[in-house]
Amino acid sequence: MRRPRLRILLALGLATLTTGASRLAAQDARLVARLRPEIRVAVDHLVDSARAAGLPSEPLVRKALEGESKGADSGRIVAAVRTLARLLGDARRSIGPGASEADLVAGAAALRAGATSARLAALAALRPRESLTVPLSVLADLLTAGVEPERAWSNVRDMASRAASDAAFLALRERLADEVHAPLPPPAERPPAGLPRPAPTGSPR
Amino acid sequence: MRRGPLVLMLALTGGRPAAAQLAGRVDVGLGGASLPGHGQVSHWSVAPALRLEGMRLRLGLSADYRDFGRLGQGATGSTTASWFPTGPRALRLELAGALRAQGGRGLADRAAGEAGPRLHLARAGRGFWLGGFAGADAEGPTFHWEAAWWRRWGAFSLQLLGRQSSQSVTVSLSNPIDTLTPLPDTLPQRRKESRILTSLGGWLSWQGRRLELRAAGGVRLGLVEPGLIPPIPGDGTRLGTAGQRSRSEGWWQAEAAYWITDRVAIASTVGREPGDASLLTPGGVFLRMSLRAALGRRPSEAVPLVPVRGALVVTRVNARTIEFALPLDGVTRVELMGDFTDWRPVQLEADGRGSWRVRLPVEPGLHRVNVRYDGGEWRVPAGTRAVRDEFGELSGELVIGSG
Repeated sequence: MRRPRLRILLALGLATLTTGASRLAAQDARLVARLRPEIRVAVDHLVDSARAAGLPSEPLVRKALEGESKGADSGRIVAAVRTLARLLGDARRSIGPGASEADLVAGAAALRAGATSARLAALAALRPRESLTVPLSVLADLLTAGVEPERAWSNVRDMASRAASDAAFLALRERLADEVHAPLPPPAERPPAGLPRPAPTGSPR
Repeated sequence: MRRGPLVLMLALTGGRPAAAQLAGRVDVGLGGASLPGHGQVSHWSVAPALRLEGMRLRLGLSADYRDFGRLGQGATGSTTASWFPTGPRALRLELAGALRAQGGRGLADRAAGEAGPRLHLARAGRGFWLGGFAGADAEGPTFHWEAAWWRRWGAFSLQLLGRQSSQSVTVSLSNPIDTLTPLPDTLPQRRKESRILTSLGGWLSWQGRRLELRAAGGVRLGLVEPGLIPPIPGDGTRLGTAGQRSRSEGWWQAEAAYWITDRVAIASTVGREPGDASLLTPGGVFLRMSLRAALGRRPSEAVPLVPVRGALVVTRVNARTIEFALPLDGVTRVELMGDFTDWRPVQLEADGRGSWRVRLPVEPGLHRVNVRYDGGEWRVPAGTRAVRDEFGELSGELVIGSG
């Protein structure tokens, strides 16, 4: 009677130890080292969920580390990681299950900048075998820079349909974004204003 | 950032707060001036200035309060606003307005304003504009036109501006300026006079990492008809000398500011200020030493607008490695951090040729990066796109290609 009970207890203990060890191994050492425990728990949960959904975890870890290095509060860090996880999921649905981690990160950036899921899917259809990383990065950057969405999209789409090189996409980025970021002409200078000056001593007031 | 300023900046910049620059400063100083009718006088002063610049709108506010002790106090202030209804094009319209006012003991309480369009013809780093303005001051309506040429060479900027204003003034001779001289009865009681004022000026500035230099000079021709100028309230003095119908008046100004820290500088300004016919302020020679406090980061370092020395150069070394280089003088430590360093600072090495370099493994794609010098604040490196991140901070964004 005693031996079976002992065996069960040993098995349970071993299972607990194994589960704990695998969970510790799953935790990113960078998060353990740099995040406060209460933030880490929330970020770990999001990272685990993303991993379970087949999404890359590295961008989420880096987003949390970015927030930590910039002194953001826990709520902002967790919100940023959660938003990125959602955008990565949206990007994968648009681009397809075969998208690389870099493609998904660029796709998430493009969605955050205002691109639509339909446009990501259209771009993926135009370049079924080539990487989408640079075209999506350029699209995201142009939208962030303030290029009109239609103009940014039509230029990126046209280049993608011509199988343009990364260098050509980068040149497009410089050309369009420089137009938007051309500084305002300088303000008109004026000669210094006349001096405020006192009235002479003894003058009538 | 509080919600109010954020909403304002979003409205001004079309929803892209990273594109807006807010720069302000306050100068508190001691100085001296040589003024007509006073000789040499000393004063202390406070001069705040604020500038907000978005992608289509620029607002400026400035004031100058000077206290001459028992002799009196006075302040001048001005506000300017410009709106660019079209985006960046070679030919660009600006709608601009300006208000100036003054008050205090020893100054006439006066205000002047003007508004009108400027048409800019601009290319990268240089441009030309023509403008026409209508306005008013206490004497009546004013009109002026102006033409300017400007150029930026890295940290240098130059502006040459010519301006001509005209004003039709009704002069009441029954209320003569010089009350000691009675007018003959045969003279008309009122007459119209035209005042034409032509100004030519040049402004040259240079902005380094710590030092800022600025020099300006110009001339005003056909100042006013001195016999028609009302006296300065309180003392009866005028801007001109009786008997002269017109004359020229030169002015110049030189300023140096050295930034001790990122937010505090010592500044010195010397020059000769011109008189202002609209505000009835006289010109004079002045010197001012002041302590300058910046409200926020200096604009040129927060969001670089023009190519400057110190721009981040990104070069692919091999399939996985990127070299980051920053040409910089006068610093002892340069660090960089980004998503590809797990947001840990990485120190750059001086290459002995005036640049700081580091090689890092970076995958192709969109990346964010910040730099800092001598352990100071993290900044957006020049040469990258400034974006406001999810944490409310500014980061530089760059796209790395695969080839």
